[in-house]
Amino acid sequence: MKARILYLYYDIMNLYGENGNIRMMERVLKEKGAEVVIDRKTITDTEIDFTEFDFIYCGCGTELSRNACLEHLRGFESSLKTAYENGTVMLFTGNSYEMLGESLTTADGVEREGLGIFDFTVKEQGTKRYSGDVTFNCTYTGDETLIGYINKCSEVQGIKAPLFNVTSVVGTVKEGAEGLREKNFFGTQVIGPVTVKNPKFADYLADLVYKNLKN
Amino acid sequence: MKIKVFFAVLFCKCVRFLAKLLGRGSSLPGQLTLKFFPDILKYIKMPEKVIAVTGSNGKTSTLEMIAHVLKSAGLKVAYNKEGSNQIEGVTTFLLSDCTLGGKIKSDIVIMESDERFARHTFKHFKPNHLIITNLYRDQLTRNGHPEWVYDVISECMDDSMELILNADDPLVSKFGKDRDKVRYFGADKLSIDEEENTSVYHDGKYCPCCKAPMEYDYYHYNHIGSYHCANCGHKRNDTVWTITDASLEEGYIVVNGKYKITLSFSSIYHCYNTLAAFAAADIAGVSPEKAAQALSGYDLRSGRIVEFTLGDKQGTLLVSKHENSISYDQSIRVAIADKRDVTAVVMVDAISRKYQTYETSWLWDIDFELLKSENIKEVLLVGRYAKDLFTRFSFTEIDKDKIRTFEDIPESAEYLKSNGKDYIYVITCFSDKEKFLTLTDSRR
Repeated sequence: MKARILYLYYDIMNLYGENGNIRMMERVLKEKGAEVVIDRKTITDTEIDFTEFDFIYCGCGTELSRNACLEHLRGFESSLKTAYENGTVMLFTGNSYEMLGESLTTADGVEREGLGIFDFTVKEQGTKRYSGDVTFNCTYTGDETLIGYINKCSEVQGIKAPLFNVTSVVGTVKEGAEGLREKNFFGTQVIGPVTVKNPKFADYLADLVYKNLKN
Repeated sequence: MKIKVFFAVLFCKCVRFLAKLLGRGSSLPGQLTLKFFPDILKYIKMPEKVIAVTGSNGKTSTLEMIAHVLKSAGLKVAYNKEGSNQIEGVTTFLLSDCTLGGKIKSDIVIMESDERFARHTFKHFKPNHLIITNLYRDQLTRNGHPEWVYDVISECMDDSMELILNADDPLVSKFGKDRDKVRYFGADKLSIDEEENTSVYHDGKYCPCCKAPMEYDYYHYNHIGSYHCANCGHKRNDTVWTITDASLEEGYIVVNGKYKITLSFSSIYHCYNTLAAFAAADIAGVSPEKAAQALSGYDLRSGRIVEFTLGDKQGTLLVSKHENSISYDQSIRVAIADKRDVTAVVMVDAISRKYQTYETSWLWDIDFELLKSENIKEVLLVGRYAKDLFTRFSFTEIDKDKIRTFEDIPESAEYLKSNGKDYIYVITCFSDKEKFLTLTDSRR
């Protein structure tokens, strides 16, 4: 069975080793028996059909890069929404998932409209970086303690279904609810190769993708 | 006010004296002085020229070379030679050089400044010239990311300062946009250049000003090269100080077509640091002939390479920086350029000695794929993070039989003694290097 992966904004939303997630998901899906095809799209692409893919990944970027991607992604809003409604498995790490809420207020005070797939709002500031190593858990991977790294300058308000629960921190990040899980959409402020660091989480995502392939 | 300055200088000097006796670092005296006299730097009478250096990589090496050239030219130089580059360390070295009236005794002040703390250090006084070497992904756990650091550095600037910028770094040269007082240094097209960026990531692919795609004529390394943005016009600017020719094999650079400088260490990094020192010397009024002569063959005290023997094996430790993929890329390039049969050792034991972090994302930004090179016969992954390194290497095309892991550093040294190839390269951070070097038989 063919699993089509989209590495969205591969060359601009790649703040810190995010490429590891694509390599890990490719490996795990292959181990499950899928034939993996990876497609890369970026802000110069004029045609993207999100419904063609079985797994979509987007990494973290600088705030300026993320703003540029937000403007580009607007052109593909309905396709992305449809893919989400269809239950396509998506992982958005770092500030990339901030593009999909109601609004995004950047440090300069400008309020940008989000893609509106979710109803959270985001507020950024330009003076303090929230950064740190974190441990967290989630209900999907059992008792496993997961590890990761957060590096952000934003607060997200209005999340109904958090993805993770941050249990300990070395750094300036807050403990507690983190990220977003709706349908098969996984959004987290954890950046970098989170699936490499947490093989169980990678396995959980790959299982979801694989199950969709069979249906 | 004079009384205040008098007491502040006296206090700092006394604490410095005591701190030295107790073997304490050079930050403490400044730190205590600032506690009682928070704005003391406002009242220090600086010499005519104050030159500062900031950026991600190369600050300490560049500053050391500037100091060497200026001293060779007979100038009395005050600088943070112990590398304490935050406001506390800067306060210590400045006040140590003061008369009790608060006047700097030296002819010139040069200093390196931590990129994140420049806004604090330069709150009460401004250097006349600020040299910015480069801005890379470096210590993201502290720095956020390069564009964040860009914003932080710009907070220290005003119109009185002249910026001396690396023209080949697109983010650094953004500081020069719409600015009068700015000059650039950089390298012309060189024989080592590449037409494609083959690194894991490309931080110059999109314009740092408008995020439109940028075009490159050539790359010196990673995203450093000649670029232009068709959308907003951001481009590599013309340079005042220019490497017009260079050979890493023969170990020299030629500046502005006529000043040949031989290099004690052949890396493209060192070329840039040397060029920045040359520019600083020019600004300080040292003749280019004298500067080139002083820089020629200069051996860095803060040695970035250490040659060692281990039993009957020989090798070089290439000091890189953890959490800084470009510095690793550079070291890897040195190892794969060697024609002998090489054992490459990558050692990550403590990510930082200064702060607590266990972050390993940066391992995925390093171009370890390059170690697939024909000359690399074996790869040792060493230290507490050996397993993380192994995971990273399992995604390269390097033959698994060539890779060995050692969480225990002495065990790896023993293994090298009997199994090291013709030459060994150890790639690690200055924070970890001693853990290996103490096991060697000699070093140079």
